[in-house]
Amino acid sequence: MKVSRRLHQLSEMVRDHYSHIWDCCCDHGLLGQLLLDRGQADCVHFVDVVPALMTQLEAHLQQTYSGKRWQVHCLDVARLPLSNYTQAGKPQLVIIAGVGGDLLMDLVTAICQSQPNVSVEFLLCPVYHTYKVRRALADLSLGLISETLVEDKQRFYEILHVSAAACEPVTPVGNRCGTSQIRFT
Amino acid sequence: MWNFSDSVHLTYLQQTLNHYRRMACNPQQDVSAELEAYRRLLPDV
Repeated sequence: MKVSRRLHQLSEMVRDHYSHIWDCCCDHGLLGQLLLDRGQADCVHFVDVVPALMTQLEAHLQQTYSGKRWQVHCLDVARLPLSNYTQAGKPQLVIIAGVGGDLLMDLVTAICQSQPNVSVEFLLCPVYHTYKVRRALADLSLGLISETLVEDKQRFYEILHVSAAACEPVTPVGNRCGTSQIRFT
Repeated sequence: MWNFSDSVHLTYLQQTLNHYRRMACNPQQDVSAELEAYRRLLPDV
């Protein structure tokens, strides 16, 4: 499957295996399909609020991924039913990419505050306002697992992998973006 | 750490600093914290 550098980089940053991965604001679900291909989760959840997109995506997944576990949810990301899928000791991964920083932080804040006892990691790629996002993540006591920078179609994107269990603080301007995965041939 | 020998990193950080410099021209937008943070990161710019 041919995908953008940004989506490729996001999929590469999913290094562990998760019980549940949530591809939020998934649009056509390309990132989630990459993760299905790679077997990164017991179940990949595709989430968006646009009914027509989700109907189309569900039909495609039924044709292409009938042997894999996935679910399609047409709902507001702020209301993810994470607590229905909790497994002891296993964090779920919530991916939010391709939306503005303000909306992204509203969503992360809503998830953290509504389900404080659910073990969750976030993989985030805001389109704007990265400084504000970083400050807000620190205010939510989320720590850094990894971060990187990707250049895609002459635009730059910071990608942040964070969780409440991580101890390294999220700094306002970033402190250890890697270099090896920035350029793709 | 940001890698200042990597042109992609430098380009991004300089573009970001310039973005906040432009925003700072609008007195209704307070981006002093952002400007200070990126200036500190890029002391020679």
